Amino acid sequence: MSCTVEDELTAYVDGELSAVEAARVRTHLTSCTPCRATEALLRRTVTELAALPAFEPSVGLRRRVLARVESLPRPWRERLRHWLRPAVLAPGGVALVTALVVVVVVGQRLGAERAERGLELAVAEHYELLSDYEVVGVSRDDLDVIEHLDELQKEGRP
Amino acid sequence: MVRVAAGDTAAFAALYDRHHRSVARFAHRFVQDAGKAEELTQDIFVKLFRHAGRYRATARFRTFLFRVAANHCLNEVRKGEYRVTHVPEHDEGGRPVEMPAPEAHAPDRAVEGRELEATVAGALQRLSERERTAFALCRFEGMSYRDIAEVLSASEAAVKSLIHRATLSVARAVEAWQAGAGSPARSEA
Repeated sequence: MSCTVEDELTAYVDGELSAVEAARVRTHLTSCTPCRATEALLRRTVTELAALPAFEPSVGLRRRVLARVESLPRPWRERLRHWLRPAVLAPGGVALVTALVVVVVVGQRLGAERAERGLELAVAEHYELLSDYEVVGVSRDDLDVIEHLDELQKEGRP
Repeated sequence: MVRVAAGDTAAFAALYDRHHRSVARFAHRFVQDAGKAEELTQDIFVKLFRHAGRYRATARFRTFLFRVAANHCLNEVRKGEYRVTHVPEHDEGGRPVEMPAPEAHAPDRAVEGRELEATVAGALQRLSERERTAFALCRFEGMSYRDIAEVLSASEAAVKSLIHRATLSVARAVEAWQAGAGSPARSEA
């Protein structure tokens, strides 16, 4: 076929030509029998192709595709997003606060114990001296008495 | 697609559910084999997931998807990973080969449908890869010439030419089968 319009026929059938081009083809078809035959053949074929049964993939394909995707390493953005999710972040925050409270409370307690132990050590270190004065377990008034013992003895107080 | 790019598998599953039939259908037209078509579909979707970050919202998603699909099918077939199944269409005497019907008393219409399917499949295998791609996207996925041009990175004029040659070639093959004799038209591309 030597018609230059023939190359336009499929696009004409598919409605892919501009209005001007389509009008030109339409005019040509009124006077060209071979092109009219080709146009009819193309239209018939397009209709028949549309009626062909479509391939239907198996149900198992979905499972296989999703399993493969799940097995891929996650992009860093997704990993970061995972860790910043409220479901992960909230318990994490609670755990962090709890840990901080525990550290502070235990720290304070340890500090107090250490100070107490320090006092005990000081007492132990000077126990002999303190025993001499029999001050272990004495009150502040008794300490004053001990401090001014010499003066009190001179004054003849017991 | 933005969510898929961030690794959201639930969004990916929704995307798969929406588009897998089109992709599988396209792959099947390409290799004419159900098992190979599913393998290709699987690879295409995994590729889509891995490279989702390359998608730009300015492009139509379907065009992007078929660009991935078409490139993958073309590459795999060129690498020889998938040998395109040749469907015998005519016997030595030039008469159409009858496809066996699944049931002994299958209606004539079903048999005719299978024969037509075999004729079209045979004609498709004689097309060039680009003709076949353009033809499948146009005839079975209903894509416009403009979208196909985007998928193939070609001009609309080139796509018009590809689709015309392919459609005419398939039409001649179908015409020959319907006439019950004669050899199908061959693509010059």
